[in-house]
Amino acid sequence: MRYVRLLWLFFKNSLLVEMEYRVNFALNTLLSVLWLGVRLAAVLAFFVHRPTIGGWTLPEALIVLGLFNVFSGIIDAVLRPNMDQIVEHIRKGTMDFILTKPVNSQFLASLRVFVVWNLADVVLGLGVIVYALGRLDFRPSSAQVAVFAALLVAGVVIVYAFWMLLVTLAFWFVRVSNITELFSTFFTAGRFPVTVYPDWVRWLLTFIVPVALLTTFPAASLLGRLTATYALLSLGMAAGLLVASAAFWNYAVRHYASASS
Amino acid sequence: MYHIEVRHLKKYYEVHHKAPGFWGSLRSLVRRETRTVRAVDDISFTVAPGEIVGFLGPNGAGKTTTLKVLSGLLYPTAGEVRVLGFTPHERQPAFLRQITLVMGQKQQLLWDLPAIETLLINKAIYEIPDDEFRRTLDELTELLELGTLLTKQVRKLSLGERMKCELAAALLHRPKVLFLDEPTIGLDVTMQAKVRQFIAEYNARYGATVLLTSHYMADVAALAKRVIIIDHGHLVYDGDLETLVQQVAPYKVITVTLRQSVSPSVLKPFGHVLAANGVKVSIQVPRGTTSRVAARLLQEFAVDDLTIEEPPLEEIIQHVFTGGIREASPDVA
Amino acid sequence: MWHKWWALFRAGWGNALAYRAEIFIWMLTGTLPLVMMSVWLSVAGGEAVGSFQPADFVSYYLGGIFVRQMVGVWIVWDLERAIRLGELSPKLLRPINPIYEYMAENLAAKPMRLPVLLPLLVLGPLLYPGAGYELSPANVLAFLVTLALAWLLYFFIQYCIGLLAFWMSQATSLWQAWFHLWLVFSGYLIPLDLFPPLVTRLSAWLPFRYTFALPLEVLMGRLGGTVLVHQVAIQVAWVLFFVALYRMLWSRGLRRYSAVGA
Repeated sequence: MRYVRLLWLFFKNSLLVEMEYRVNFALNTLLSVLWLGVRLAAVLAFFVHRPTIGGWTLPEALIVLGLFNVFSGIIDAVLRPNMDQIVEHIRKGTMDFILTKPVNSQFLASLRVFVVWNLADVVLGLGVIVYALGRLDFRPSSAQVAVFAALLVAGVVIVYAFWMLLVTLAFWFVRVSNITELFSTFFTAGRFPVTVYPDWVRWLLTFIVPVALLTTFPAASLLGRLTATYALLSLGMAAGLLVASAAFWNYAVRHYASASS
Repeated sequence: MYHIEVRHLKKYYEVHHKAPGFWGSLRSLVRRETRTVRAVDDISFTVAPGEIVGFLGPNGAGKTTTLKVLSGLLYPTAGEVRVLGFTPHERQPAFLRQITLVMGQKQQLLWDLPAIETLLINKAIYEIPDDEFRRTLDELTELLELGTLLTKQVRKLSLGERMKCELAAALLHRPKVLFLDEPTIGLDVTMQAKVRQFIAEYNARYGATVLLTSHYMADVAALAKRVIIIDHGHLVYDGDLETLVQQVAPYKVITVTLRQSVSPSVLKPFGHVLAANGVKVSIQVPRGTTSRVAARLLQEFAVDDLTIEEPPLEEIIQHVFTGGIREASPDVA
Repeated sequence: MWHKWWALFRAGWGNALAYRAEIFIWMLTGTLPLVMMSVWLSVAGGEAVGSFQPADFVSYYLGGIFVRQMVGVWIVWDLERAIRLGELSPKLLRPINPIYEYMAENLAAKPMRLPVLLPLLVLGPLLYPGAGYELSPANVLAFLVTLALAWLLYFFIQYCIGLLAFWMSQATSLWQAWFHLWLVFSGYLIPLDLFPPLVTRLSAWLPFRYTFALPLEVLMGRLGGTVLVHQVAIQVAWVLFFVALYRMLWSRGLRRYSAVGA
């Protein structure tokens, strides 16, 4: 309960800060729209020449793209700003204030600031999904929607935990502030259905850098193409990664305590 | 029962070495050279509840490292540390709720927002009930003379104002033990005095234990009866400030303003002449003979003004750092 | 002058060396071309797509990574920061225009990338039959010239946008907007020939393609003769345009900077 209240406070504070820079709102929204345009162009180009990619029609592929937009919005609004903050805390030594608070330090350090405007990407992404479903003239059953929602939550947890595993490295490599860009390396592949990639890439994107679990899986579930095994895999991954990220964070804090002065 | 117990605390860490220049950076690609730094090397002390202890030492002496170990931020390499009966580095919530750390050079306040927002976050973090929050806030506002500062954006506050808000944020949960690392650094003299006064009042009102490091001897002299001096990670002195002064500086300084100037050689028999600017003369005299010398001065010269002062604390501490404390003792005898 | 350049270059190299890990990671993040390549190969299914054979996609995207890394400039954030926080002032006191410093720093970081990039250019064609580049001396020369001009153009465009920080606080956002357009119209994401003809024609008149697609298409031997000359002429024209724009922005910006006294 305390954590929910804190989260709300952090969110409110971030909003207050951004109210200060209102010009950013217009510009950021413009950038979000541009970004979506670029992403759409990259998908549409294939469909100029072929009717399907990896067995997905244009509207189907657009659901994947919409999800990709949602997740990049979450990354830019929540994960990236907090990562910058964590690196900054470590560099300036203000991490000390976080570690001396009687609250889970990972929570306090990783969900502290939000770049609220970037949530525009989430909204736009959802818009694309709705549009695509309309084009398909497809009404998912309530069970499908429920599975979709569960997979979406699992996706959020996965991307958070995976990202945190990378950010935590900042305790060792303070200067490699862009270490999380490594994630982007793979994440960028998530904009297309994984079926377009060779088998080994598909495997990599499912089990090693679980990008497929963020975009292709929920989309497939909505279209009724995902088997129960894969749905469970997604949920299991989410739980496993969350535990792993917490363990690694605690280990890093212990290291921080023994190696610095 | 002590609030703070430190036994044979050691804190070592490794630093990487890099030779400067092009080849240096190329070489460090291949092989990294490390060196062990003994930030704290076998220190023991205890602090009783309600005590204010000044922690002194030159830069890099290990003061901040010790404070960090005590507040649970650092693991000791060896030795035993107990604060309020807890082992700090376990960072149990019950422990963290009762301590606070203020670092003059770092801030926890959110830069772009009014300080009250940080206070509200801390209220939620420390689970302070509404009425208690209001009460503490009122008290802190009064003690720190916060006025309307809390509702102003932090980045628009002056350094001193910011420090006041910083203290409010750090003390909102009424900690029993305060670790203050250079709380007055960079502040002007009046503001230093105010912060000092506040710390004294907080200590008196809540009986909190305070461990304080500062570059400004005035802070220490005003607040702490007891000082701990460390240098190069070693404990050099632990005890009464008064005793230290007497031990290290077994003399006082008599400054007289004469009606007409005299040659310094005439004054020599009275003691070591420190300065002679025309009619104003400073003489260093052994502690025990101060009143006798003063009386003789008054008898033999036409004196406009005469003061007897302790030597500056900075000088005394400097003396201790340079190993004076051990050498000083025989001199006294 | 050479002496100064060498000193600046050395300093830039030292800096690049210090940030080698970051540079390496940044290079790794440029994987979108590989993703696009992979999708095109899957989509092509062994047959030609437009004027592209499957092997051409390999040449195009691997070569694209090389060109991108060689052309890339990342100074807009530094420049914006220097202007906004007044860090430009100490640079202005030196008897050398800061632009040379930024240029040297950027160029000095290039050789660091080669050990990773060159194998890419060699390996791709080796592993994928039919992939490869047109390596006749004349063509290589044309490639190097267009590559150098592409870098110059990209540098001056970014520098101009960075200089806008003299007037506004959103210069980096503006750069990002430009960059989004760049992704599409430079040919970085999709070969420009594969767009609908209207987009292809439009891109020929915009500056984007001359910072990327032109040297790449030259390297692949897709351009020659009068077309090449024509293209280089447009490229040079764009460079001259942005150099002129830079001179104007710089002199006016400086006047403003000293007036505000940042």
